[in-house]
Amino acid sequence: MARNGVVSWRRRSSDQLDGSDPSPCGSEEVHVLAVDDSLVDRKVIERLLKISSCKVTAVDSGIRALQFLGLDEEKTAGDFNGLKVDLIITDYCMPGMTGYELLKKIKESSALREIPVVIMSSENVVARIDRCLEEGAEDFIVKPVKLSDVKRLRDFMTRDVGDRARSDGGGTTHKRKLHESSDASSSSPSVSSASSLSSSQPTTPSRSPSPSVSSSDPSSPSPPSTRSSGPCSPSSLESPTRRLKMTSGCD
Amino acid sequence: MDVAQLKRQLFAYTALLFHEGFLDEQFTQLQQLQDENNPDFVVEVVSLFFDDSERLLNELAKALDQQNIDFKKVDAHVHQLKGSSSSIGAQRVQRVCIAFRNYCQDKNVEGCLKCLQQVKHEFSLVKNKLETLFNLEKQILAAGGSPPT
Repeated sequence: MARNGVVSWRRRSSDQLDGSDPSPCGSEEVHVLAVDDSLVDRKVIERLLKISSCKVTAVDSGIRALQFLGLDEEKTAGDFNGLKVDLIITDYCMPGMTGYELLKKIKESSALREIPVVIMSSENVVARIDRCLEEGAEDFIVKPVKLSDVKRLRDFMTRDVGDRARSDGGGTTHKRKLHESSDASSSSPSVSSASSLSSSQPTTPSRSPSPSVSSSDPSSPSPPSTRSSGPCSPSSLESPTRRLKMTSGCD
Repeated sequence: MDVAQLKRQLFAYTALLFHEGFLDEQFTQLQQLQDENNPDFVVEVVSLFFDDSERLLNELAKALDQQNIDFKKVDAHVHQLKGSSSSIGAQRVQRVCIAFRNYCQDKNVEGCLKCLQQVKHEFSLVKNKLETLFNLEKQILAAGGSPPT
């Protein structure tokens, strides 16, 4: 994809491959693949990413994501359409393939496993978060996604892209790095770090400017302890097999 | 009405919507994503939300009208509605959805039907109010004012 200095305004709202907004940083423009079945959420995440100087490709399913990454049945892994993906951000609850299943497929692929994957979910469930992190997700963002969440990812990605460009794409794992640094920082009101959750009650998508962990407010998702909350039921998350079987209605 | 008056009206109206819980902080987030290069972003997202919600409400009505209600299906639709309302900051809609999902879990038909009515009501309220808000913005622009931030 040619990158000249001219911004193509007619494509400015496009989420397609050949958007040619130049990165203010110059050479290291981050390309993010966003996966979400919700049209509203795709629009929002796309804008959040673009305003954070990322190139975005937004798709509506895990299958399409794998197709884009060159990991479907007809292509061999690594057969990219020419655009390197620096980060994958995916919704957890999607019909068909969940974000968790997509994460697993990506981490199982030798060609793709280096790509950091971030999971988004409206459900603030510790077991789910832990499971995703254990499977190799870089981070877990509780929806609704805010600008501060994306900015943090962006900073992480700039470092990471730089590192990967310098090393030969070697085995440096940044797993948990973002997660640990966001643990230390308490400036962002939005919650994505899992390690701060494991010892205390689940943190909520905080509406207040206070950086501290707050207890549930009425607008937060119901606590996971008592009841299952549908197809993405926290109570059924113990067994991966059972979890997968229950995903049919999950979106 | 002059621009200054309109802007005051818009400011007051928006504050009221927040105060009454129709909108929450996420709506402010969306407004922050709007700029001169993307001046219609909020209207566009909210329009998507309107269309998507209407579709979901229809699906919900259909699903709850069945002889044998598929509560998983109902829950899936409510989950979607909860998600999108949360993403645009439509707090009251989102809250009804939370209650709605609980009734789905309990397979409580009456509870679900009640919530359906409630969520339709809240949706129609927030739709009305947002349309009023957007209208005010349009008037400001038409009167020569700069886009409100």
